[in-house]
Amino acid sequence: MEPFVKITSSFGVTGEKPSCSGIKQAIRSVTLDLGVHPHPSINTNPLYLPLQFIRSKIQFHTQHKALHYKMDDVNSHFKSKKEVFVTVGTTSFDSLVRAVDSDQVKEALLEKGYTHLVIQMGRGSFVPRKSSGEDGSLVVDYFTFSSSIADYLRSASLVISHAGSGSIFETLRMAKPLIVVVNEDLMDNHQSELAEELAERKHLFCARPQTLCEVIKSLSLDIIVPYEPGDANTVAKLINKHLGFPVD
Amino acid sequence: MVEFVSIFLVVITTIIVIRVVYVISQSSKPVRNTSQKPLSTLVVLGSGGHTAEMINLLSVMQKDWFAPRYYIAAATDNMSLQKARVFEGILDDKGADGSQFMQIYRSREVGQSYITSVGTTLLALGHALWLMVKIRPHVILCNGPGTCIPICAIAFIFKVLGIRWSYIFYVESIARVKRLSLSGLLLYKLHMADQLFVQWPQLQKQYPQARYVGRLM
Repeated sequence: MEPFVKITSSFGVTGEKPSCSGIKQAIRSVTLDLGVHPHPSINTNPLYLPLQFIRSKIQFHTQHKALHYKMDDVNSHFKSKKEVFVTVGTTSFDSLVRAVDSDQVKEALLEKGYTHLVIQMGRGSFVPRKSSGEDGSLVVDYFTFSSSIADYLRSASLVISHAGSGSIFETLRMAKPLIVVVNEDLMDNHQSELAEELAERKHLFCARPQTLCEVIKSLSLDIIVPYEPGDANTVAKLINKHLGFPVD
Repeated sequence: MVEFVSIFLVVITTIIVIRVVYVISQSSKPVRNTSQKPLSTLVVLGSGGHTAEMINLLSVMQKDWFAPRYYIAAATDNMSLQKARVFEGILDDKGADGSQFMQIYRSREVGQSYITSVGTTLLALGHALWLMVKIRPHVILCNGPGTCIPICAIAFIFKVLGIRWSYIFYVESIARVKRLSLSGLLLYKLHMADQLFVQWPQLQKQYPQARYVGRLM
C-alpha cells in the first residue's frame, strides 16, 4: 500500500529548501485545483500527498543519495517566496540601484530561484521600476528609508548591500547570504578593504556595480563560511588595565 | 626689548616642548589608579558602523567605573544619539543616570573635499572647545571618523596646559583593514591617544605602536 508520500523540508525544491508552510500552501492549492480533497493528514506535520498525484506531476530522480525532483507545471505553486533585499544605507548609490534594476540582473536572480526584489534606494535620484510580477517576472518594490531595515534583512533570502560596515555586520550576524557592492564613486574608497577581506575569508561575495550580474550568475551559497562575531572584551580589558581598574 | 621677547619665547617654547614630551611619555604608561573612583567618560559617536562598534564596546564595559557618560555625535547624525539613548535605557532601568547626549558640528562629511574641510574643521574645533570646557572628561573613547579629531586635539592641549588629564582611547574602525583612517593616522602620528587599537593583524604590522585587539563586530 503506497497511497501517500511523506513530504519533509529536506526535499529540495529546485535545489533550495522551501519553508514548510510554503509547501503546505502550495499542496493545498494544487490539490484543490485538480478537484482532489486534501487528505486529512495534510494539516499535520510532516505533510502527506497522494503518490499518484506526485508521480503524475513530478519527475523523481535520485542524485547524491538524496531525493530530488524536477518541477514542471506545478513549479509556480511550489515556489516559496524568496526575497532579495538591496540596501544602499543612509546615502545614495544610484549605480547599484541602476544595476539591480537592469533586465540582466533581474533575469539572473530569477534563474537563481528568487521571486521578490525589494530595494532600499536611500537618497538616490534613480528610481527603479516597480513590478507586480504577473508575467512570471520578479516582483519588484522599493522605498527610500525605513526604520525597520532589520525586518527586511530577516525576511530576505539574499542581501545585496553597499559596503558600509553597519549593513555588512548586521547581515552577517543574521547569517544571510550577502553580496557587497563597492561604491567606486566615493572619494576615499576604503570601504572595499573590508568587503574584500571578508570576501577572501568567504563570509560574503564582493562585487562592483558592473560585475554584479556575473557575481549573481556564479553565486554558490555552499562555499559561504559562517561569520563568527567578534569580541569587544579584549579592548575593554586593555582599557581597564590602562586605567588601573581591576581586570579579572 | 626684542632680546627680552625672543628669550621669553625660547623659554616658553622649551617649556611647552618639554611638557608635550612629558605628556606623550606619561600617556602611554598605565595609570596607578588607587582610588578606583568612577571616571567621567566622553564617548564620541561616529555614524552608522562606527556607532555600532562603539555600542558593542560599551556593552562590555563596567558602567560603574565609567560614569557619568557624555555622548557626542555629529549634528547631521540623528541616528547615533538615538542608538546611545536606547543603549543607556537598556543598561539602566532607572533611565539615563546623569548620562548626557550632545551634538557637535562635524569636521568633514563623507564625500566632502579636503579643501572645504578646512573651514568646517575650524568651526567644529570652536564648538568642540566649548563642549570640552563644559565636560572636562577623564576618559575619552572614540573610533572615528573626523568628529573625534577636534575633541582629541583639545583634550591633548588641556593635558599639556594642565587643565585636565584625559585618557584618550581610539579604536580604529573594523572597516580599516590595510590603512589607518585619517583620524587614526593623525592620532597615531601625533601620539595624541593613550592607546590606539586596531582590529586587523595586518594593520598592526604596519603601525607597530598600535595594539591589535581582534574584531569588535
